[in-house]
Amino acid sequence: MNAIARRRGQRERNQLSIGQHGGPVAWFQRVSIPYLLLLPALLLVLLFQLYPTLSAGWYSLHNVLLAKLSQPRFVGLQNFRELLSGPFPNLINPIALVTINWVIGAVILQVGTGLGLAILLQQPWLKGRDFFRGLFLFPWVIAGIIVGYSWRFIFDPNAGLANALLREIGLPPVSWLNTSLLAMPCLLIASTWRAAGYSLVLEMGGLQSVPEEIYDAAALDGASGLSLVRYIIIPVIRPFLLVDLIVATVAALNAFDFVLTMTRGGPVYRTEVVGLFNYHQAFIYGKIGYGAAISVVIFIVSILLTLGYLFVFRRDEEAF
Amino acid sequence: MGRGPVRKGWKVFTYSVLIAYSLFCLVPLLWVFSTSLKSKAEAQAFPPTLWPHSLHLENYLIPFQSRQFGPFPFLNSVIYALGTVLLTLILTTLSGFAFSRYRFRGRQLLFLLILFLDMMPGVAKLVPLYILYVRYGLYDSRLGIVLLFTVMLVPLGTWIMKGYFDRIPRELEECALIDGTTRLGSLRHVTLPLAAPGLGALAVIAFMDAWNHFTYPLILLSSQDRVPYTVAIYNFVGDYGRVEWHIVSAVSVISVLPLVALFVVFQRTLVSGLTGGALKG
Repeated sequence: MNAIARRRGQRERNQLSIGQHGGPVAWFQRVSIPYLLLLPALLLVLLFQLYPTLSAGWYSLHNVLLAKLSQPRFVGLQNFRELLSGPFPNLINPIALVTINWVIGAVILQVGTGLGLAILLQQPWLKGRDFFRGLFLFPWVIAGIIVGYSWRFIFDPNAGLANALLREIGLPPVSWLNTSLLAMPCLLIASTWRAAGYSLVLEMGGLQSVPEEIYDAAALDGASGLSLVRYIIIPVIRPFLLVDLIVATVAALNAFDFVLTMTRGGPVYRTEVVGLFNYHQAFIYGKIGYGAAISVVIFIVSILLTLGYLFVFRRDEEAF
Repeated sequence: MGRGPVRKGWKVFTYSVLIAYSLFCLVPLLWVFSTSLKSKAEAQAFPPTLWPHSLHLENYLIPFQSRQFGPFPFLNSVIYALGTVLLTLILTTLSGFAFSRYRFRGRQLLFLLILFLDMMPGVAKLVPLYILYVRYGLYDSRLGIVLLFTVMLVPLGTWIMKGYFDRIPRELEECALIDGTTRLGSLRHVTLPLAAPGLGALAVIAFMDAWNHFTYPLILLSSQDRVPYTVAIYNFVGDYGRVEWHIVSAVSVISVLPLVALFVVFQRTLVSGLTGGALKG
């Protein structure tokens, strides 16, 4: 209803302005204005976002070496064949396994921690809400590379804080980031430290959209903590949760700088997420065409995720 | 239970969790800060000391005097961040205004295209962007870096500015129109001052974003005197050998200081920008 009324208002306004200026020249000027306003931003987006995305497809079918960029040689689908069934390490084994592990772990920990803290911070009697929220969000604004070094230092076998804590409780030191079973959990701890505050802020935005009376009514009906979460909080913040999940997923897929500085993908590819693999293959081993093929695979996976995102948002008419 | 007093156990639980998580957030920050004041020997000793025996403020000067780091990286980061803020504000004020105030052919399609391209992970754009930059002379140029940082803020910026413009009543602009101002004139004199909080939020977000970028400068710059501090510290640490944690920590603290300042002053703006921008509607 609201949208219809708004559109009618818009039409009336447009007619009003047609009444104000006449003639084809004035008409053209009026019609072209929004495009001219958009032009600078759009030009940059097309040049630096759309073109690279498309050209990755072209380069992925070629053999391009870092040292000889201007001499691409057409090789068909060979890059993709090598990607999927080449010798270890290839994209399936272990990169896809590591990446799926990483993305699922990072997203669940980040969103779960964020949601849990948001519910606690939303308690009406709580004191110091802004302080807690600020403190929890702060790690999110620090550069990924700095976060990576700081946590690598914490897990340093020789001088790190983690081993100092173990020593306090009488346990022997551990070589955290060089132990194949421990490297990924350490990475997940660091990524949660970094990103949970962002989820928290989004979820709090969702919780604040619930009117106080609903909580009161639910309390009157005798709803306890858990059923409150299940039947009231989750349904109301569902759209916020979905956005949060997808933003977190894309960010996890995009992980690069803090993994590079924390573990370098080691030990033996145990934390070599797909972005790191792409960088190593293209810029350290110089296989640009192969790197482009990896990019294409990342794009396809992201498109599938994005379609889900758009599908969810299409239903929310007010969003646009 | 009803609206009676909140159960005490629940209160104790809530505060305990929040305080425990606060410690989890704080300890790494304090640990790095403490290390930045230690001597080299103390920073590498085991078990580590919680607080330095003696203060070594020279750690904050050493990177600037060293050959691998030098005085330029932080200066470069400031230049890149300010350039990005300026360009982002100009471009997204225009694009946000267009999406908020005009109905035109292809509006929805363009908006979705911008959001869609933004969803494509940046790591996958490394290779094609590298080729683009080398081919068209943008490789190792400051302009190329600022343009790229700006492009990455266009979707969020457009979204935030559109949101702020949507909240400003059109009637105000129409008054100006009746008074004989042009539509763009009304943008400048009426709408823009009212959208100042949006511009402020976007400026803070853009600065923080540009300040922290690492990956693109890593592959798109080669001159040592053009790299931002993120790449400089990466080169300083190097690939092998023991890391000089006291120096790395000092650089980390310096890099975080402007963020702390912005954060303390603009926390509310930042939060409203994030939620308003990401979740409007």
